[in-house]
Amino acid sequence: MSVKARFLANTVSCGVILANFLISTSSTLRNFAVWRTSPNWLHTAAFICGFALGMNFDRIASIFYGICSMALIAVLIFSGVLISAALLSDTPVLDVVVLFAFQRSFPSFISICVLGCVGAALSMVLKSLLGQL
Amino acid sequence: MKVARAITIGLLIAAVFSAGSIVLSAQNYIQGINAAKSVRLRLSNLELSEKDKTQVRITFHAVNRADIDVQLDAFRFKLYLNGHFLGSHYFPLTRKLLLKSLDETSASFVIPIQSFYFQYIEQARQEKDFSWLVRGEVRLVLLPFNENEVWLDINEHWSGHQ
Repeated sequence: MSVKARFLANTVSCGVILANFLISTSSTLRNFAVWRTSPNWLHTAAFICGFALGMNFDRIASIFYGICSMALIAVLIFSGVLISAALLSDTPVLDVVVLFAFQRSFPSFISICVLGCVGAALSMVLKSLLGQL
Repeated sequence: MKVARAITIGLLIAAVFSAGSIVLSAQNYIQGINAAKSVRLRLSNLELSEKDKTQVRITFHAVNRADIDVQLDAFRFKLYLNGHFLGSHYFPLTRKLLLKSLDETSASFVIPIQSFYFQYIEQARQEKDFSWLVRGEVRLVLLPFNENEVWLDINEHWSGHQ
């Protein structure tokens, strides 16, 4: 598998996983979710995804780009699912749903990026320690 | 390289499960909201008490056309007579009304009218025009979906001799 394909597979997978966590913590969809979680689990998942990206790639720029991409994919999937579900169920307060999706997306994007970077930094420290041994 | 491949495969497997979970959650949401909309609530009777005309008995009839069970949890509504406000009421149901799929049920409430509003009842009696309006909401609990709550609007008219 080429580095590009691996990068794409990693970021898209992490984005989908985080979108699922976002949905299972969202106040609108939470009760309908297959499993409900607290926002702490979203942060833990973001940390683990960042750690996985850090372990998988060597260049800092690639890792950072990967973390931002996975956060963007996650919030886009979350907003898309929320708005499509509201449209398909003919929710009368669609504008509220759209507003909520955007209100929730920005802080989620930031927190995923921050925790992803923390996870990636830890993985790089671990890699350098393992390299020294 | 083996570690990188293992991580990628692990992430891909988790992503497949997550995608399935997202689709199921969205399906549940659509089904739940549509089910809530399939519950029809109408005013089936409204009468002033025969003795002193200081109480109103309101009966709602609910029909569940959805394929899931719901529970009627609470009612809150405002009562109007010929456009005059007669009071605001909240009835949390201590004994929840289970409304099974494709089933129907009724709920009755006796509402005391405050003395200040008697003038409007008297006026309606003189004019022989009783046009009632009940406006509010009912709280539905969608039982299969982790007891998610949905508020349904009530906007019912009733006309009669009393």
